[in-house]
Formats: sequence, C-alpha cells, structure tokens
Amino acid sequence: MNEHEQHLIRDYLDDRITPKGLERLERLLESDGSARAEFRAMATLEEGLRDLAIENTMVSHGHDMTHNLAAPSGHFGRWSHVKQFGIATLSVVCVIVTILLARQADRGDEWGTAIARIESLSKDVSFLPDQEFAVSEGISLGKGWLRLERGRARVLFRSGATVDLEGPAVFGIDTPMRAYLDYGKVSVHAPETARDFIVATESMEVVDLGTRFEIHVDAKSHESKVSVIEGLVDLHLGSRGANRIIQSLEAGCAALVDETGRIIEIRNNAAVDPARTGANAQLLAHWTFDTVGGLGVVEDSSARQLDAILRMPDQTRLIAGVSGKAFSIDGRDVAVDLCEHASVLAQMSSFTLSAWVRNPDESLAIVFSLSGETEQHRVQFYLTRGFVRFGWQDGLYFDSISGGVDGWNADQWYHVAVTAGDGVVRLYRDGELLGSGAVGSNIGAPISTPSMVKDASRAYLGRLHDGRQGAGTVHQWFTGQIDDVQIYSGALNNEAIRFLHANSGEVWSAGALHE
Amino acid sequence: MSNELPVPKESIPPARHDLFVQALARHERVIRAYIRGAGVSRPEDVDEIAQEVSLIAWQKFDQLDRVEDFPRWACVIAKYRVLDFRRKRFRDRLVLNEKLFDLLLEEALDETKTQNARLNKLEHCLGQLPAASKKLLMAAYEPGASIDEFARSVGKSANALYQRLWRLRQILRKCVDDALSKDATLPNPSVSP
Repeated sequence: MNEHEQHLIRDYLDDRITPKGLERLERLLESDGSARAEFRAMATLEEGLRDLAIENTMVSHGHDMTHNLAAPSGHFGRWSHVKQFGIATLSVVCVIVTILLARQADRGDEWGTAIARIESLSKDVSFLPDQEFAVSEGISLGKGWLRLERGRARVLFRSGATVDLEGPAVFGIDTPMRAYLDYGKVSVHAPETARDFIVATESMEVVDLGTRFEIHVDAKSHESKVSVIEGLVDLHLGSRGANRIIQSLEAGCAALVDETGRIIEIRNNAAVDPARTGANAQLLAHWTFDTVGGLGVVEDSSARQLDAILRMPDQTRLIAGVSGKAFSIDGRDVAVDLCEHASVLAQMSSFTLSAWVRNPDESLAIVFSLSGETEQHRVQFYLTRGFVRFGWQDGLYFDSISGGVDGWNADQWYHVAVTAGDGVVRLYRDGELLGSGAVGSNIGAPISTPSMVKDASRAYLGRLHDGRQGAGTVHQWFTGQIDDVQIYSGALNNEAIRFLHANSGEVWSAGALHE
Repeated sequence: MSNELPVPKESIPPARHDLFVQALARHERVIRAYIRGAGVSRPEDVDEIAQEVSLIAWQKFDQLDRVEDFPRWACVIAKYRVLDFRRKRFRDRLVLNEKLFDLLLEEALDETKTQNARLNKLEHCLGQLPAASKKLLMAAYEPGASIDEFARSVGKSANALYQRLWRLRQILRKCVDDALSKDATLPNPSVSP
C-alpha cells in the first residue's frame, strides 16, 4: 500500500475526506483485502490513541477509572459524555442559498463541483418569475431552487438519482444525496448508488432504501402523499429538530401525511407490485387436524402431502374447531412433528404461516419452529401474553419482531399469521396487520427466514426443540387448541390474510376469485 | 411496527454483574476500535454506538455462556448497531457505502484478538516516544480537542501539525507492527526443545 492510499484512509478517519477521495477509497477497499486490513489497523491505532489520551487526562486529573464503573444505568465506562446527535437541519437551510451554475473545475471529473444537472425539459415547460437563473437542458446545478410553473423537468443527481418534476413545483437541490420539495409532484428513481437518497418536505424526510417513489405536496395545505412504486422507503415524520417517528412504507403502499408530519392514512394498493400481491405464493401444506390416522399421522390435505406425525397422541383430544375438528393439547411433550419435511420447509426464502389458536399458554406458546442441529440456528413463530412474535437465532444473537395484542380472551378462536418476503416480516391477528419490520427490535439484526437456517433438521408445530439463549437445553411447547395450519411458500399480502381470517378452513389460491 | 415492550428482567446475581463490569472494562476499547474500523469516522458517533452496545450487552449478558467470548459477542451486537446507525444517521455524510461497512464489520469479527494485542502494544510503544511527542499526541487526541485551535495555541499551522501527527502515528504504527511480528516469531514456550 502506498503513502497516497494511506493518506486516503487517514483523511477518512480524520473526517476530512473529499467526495472524490471517498470514491477512490471505496474503490480501493472494495478491490483490496489488504487495504481493508490496513484500514482497520489504522482505525484501531486511532481509537487506541484516543483511549490512551482520555486515560491520560483522567490520571492527570486524579481519577481512577477502575473505581468509576458503576452498575449499568444507561451510561457505561468512561464514555458518559456522549454528545447528542443533532438532526442535520442546516443542510436544508442551505438550500435557500443561491443556486450556482457549477463549472467543470476538474477536467477528469465530468461533474466538477456540480450536484446535479438538467437532463431534459418538456416542450411546454415554463418557470416562475422568481426563478433565479435561466434553465436549459444540460446545465449543471449547484445548491438552490428550481421553480417550475408548468411542464416537466428531469434532474439527474451526481449520486445517480433521477427526479422527474411536474409543474407547478418548487424543488430544492441540496446535496448529491438530498433534495427538498416545497410543493408539487416529483417522481424519484434511486439506483443502488443513490440508496439512502432523501427528499425532504416541510413535514418529513423520505429516505430511499432502493426504490422508485412519488411525492406530491399540496401547495396550500402542505399535505403530502408518498407512493412507493418499487422497493421500500422510510418516512422520518415530524418537524425538523423534534423527535422523529420512522415509518417504513413498501411497494404498493401510499401514505397521506399532514403538514405536521402526522400520518392521516396508509393505503395498500396491492396491484402495483405483483411480488407483494401473493401471486407468487403457493400452498405448501395444510393440516386441517380433522382426523388423526394410524400411528398418529396428521394428514396434509394439500397436493404436496406433507403428512406429519403427532407425538404423544394420548395427550391430545380432537374437539370441534373453527372448521371441522381441532387439536386440544393439554400437556407438555406434545407436538406435531414435521422433521421429515424440514429440508422442504428450509427452502422457503419467503413464506406465510397461518393458524387458528384458542386458549394459548400466555407465558409462551410455540406455534411453529424450524431449527438446525443446535439452538444457534432457528426461526420460530410464537405467542405470548401481549404479543404475536416471530423470532430467529443466527449464531450468537436472538432477535424478534413483535405485534402487540390486547391479550387472549378465554375460549375465543383467533386467527394468527406471519409472512416474510422481500426482507420484511409481517404479523397479523384476525386479519389485522399488527407489526412489521426488516430488522429485529432487540439488536437490529436483519430478519432470518427458513432458508437461512443452517442444516435445518427439526421442524414442529407446537414445539421448539431447543429454545435456550444461554446455558442449558430448553424445550418450549404449545398448550391450548390449534386448528387449520397452512404454510405457503411466498408471502401473502394483507388481502389474502384477511381472506384466510374470514374464511376459516379455506385456502388462498392466487388467481382464483375471492370475495 | 409495534416494538417489543421491555420485559422485567430477572436480577442478575452480583457475581455475574461483576463479571460484566470487568469484561466491559477490559474489552471496551476493542469494541470501539471495531466500530471505528467499520468506517465510523467521528469519535462522538463511535461513543454513541459503543454506549448502545454496552446497554444491549448488559441486557443480554445472561445469554452469554462463556465470558471469554465477550469481545466477539459484543462485536456481533456492535455490527448490527453500526449498520443500523449508518442507515439512519449517515444519510447525508461522506461515509463509505453500506456494502463496505458490512464487509469491514464481517472481516473484523475474526480480528478481535489481534486488535486487542495491537492496542496493548500501542500503549507500550507510546511510552517509548520522547516526552514532547507523547504530550503532543495526547493533547491532539484529548476529548473535544481541535487540531486547528491546538495549532494556533502552539503557534503552528494546522497543516504542519497534521503532518507532525501523521509522522508520529507512522512511528507508532511501525513500532506496533514490529512488536507484533516479534511476538509471532517467538518460540512457543509450551513446546520443549
């Protein structure tokens, strides 16, 4: 590694790197493993020096830090002076600064100092009288405003994001990764290079997570409508400087947001994205529990015939269910064994599990689990006193996504479901979406699906082979009543889940007409 | 999304608590080095993430089987905090792309022991610097220190000071690398000739 490359790393670690320097550093680190090792070694040196400097300061002030390690209460060790992170409001204010026509300062860089450029203008385009400079196709843009009276303009940002403006609109250009919409309508396409591209409005920031989306801000009311055409966005809702609420919005959904950043409505337009309509979801198994055959065989009524084995049938009674018969599981050590089909279930990168339950053990009721040879790799769908949950363990960490419920009424059947697809898990009860997420709520680990379970060999309804998260093997169970369990390969959408809730015993069939 | 509500935690026995405090005190700098090495350039961000990691590690400490695994375990927690932090907080900053963050974090998980050794050697090497150089370095890395202000206070240009600090860091880096390779070539004491 030469000195110039080392300087790039140093500048980055000193937070002094330029955009061009960052591009070069990224290319270097992406292509060279030894450069990454050097990067980490230099970062370790930096942190080590900072650590020693602080220790030095403490010693010179007569403190002995080893005596300052109090019981955890929100602040640990010597780093209790953490500064509050300020929301970057200045950048938006800076949008108001005069627009600059950027010049090609560097012949080797087609962008020079420009942030964006006008790619195209419609024939009928016109600009408001207070537009500060003449706008024509191909001109480079720095920070500032475009004030479109009518017509359309396409702006290409240096980051690769493309924004189509439809007049009347007032649109601010801030940085290669950030724009501001005062009012009007824009359509944004952010490729991978512009992931995290932001369009801010008065009431929120819309953060791209690899997507196409539209924003329409009403000129008078400043109400906004955000529609996601493809991918996912995060809405950071609320006025700048206040604590913001983050709402994820997926393809096919549209959110109406008032001028204060409060969500008025979220609509699901499932027709937009076929991947989320459930069109790809196929029924994989359907255990009705209407009969138990010889040797405890629980028949799968789907074409796949993934028959299961009931363990400890003497502790299980057939009772009247939501549709035909149901299982009443009165004691521990009872489970429906799907281990024979673990490898089939472990092929699901996206899936849906739907079940009816009654009187679940509120301390913990395992509906479904799939795990490897150890507790270190598993996924589980389970119920607790106030939650419907999907959890996963991958190696050392366990994480989960939860949907809150107001308890479980005695002797009432509930429909529960979990779907996972396109990196998002959704949890439902009685057709209502309770919660969703792309990362767990404990440590922010990305979700795992059955296909991510290493060496999957154990699968059960009503049992988790080893539920420990520490020492000791812990089996976990389901007690209560269970009926009509369906598994689909593919994530069903809200409409399909509502159908399953409203039509107990029936299966969702993509393409069929459902009421 | 409904976040999981905090569940009342069973009290951890005092001995376990002591173990946690000791483990954190011993490995905190490795965790911070791990975070910095992922591409988090600003020290205040490193502190904030390290703080979150400490809290999560405390909440989940009873899930850790062997306290010897603490540094790697805490770094796994840190990995996801860093990625989350990058996604939410680094949107409009000049930082490495997410793919690189992920790569650096993943590769560094296997280096926690090496980094700890590196940090130990650094302390030793710093002690070998002339007193004035050591004082300069310590002043530059003091919390809240500004190189520009510090340069003015000692009557030097910021650039000159950056250059001097760079040379000192290079000296330290070489000293640390030499010490690590010397350790690596030492015969294993458990093997009798």
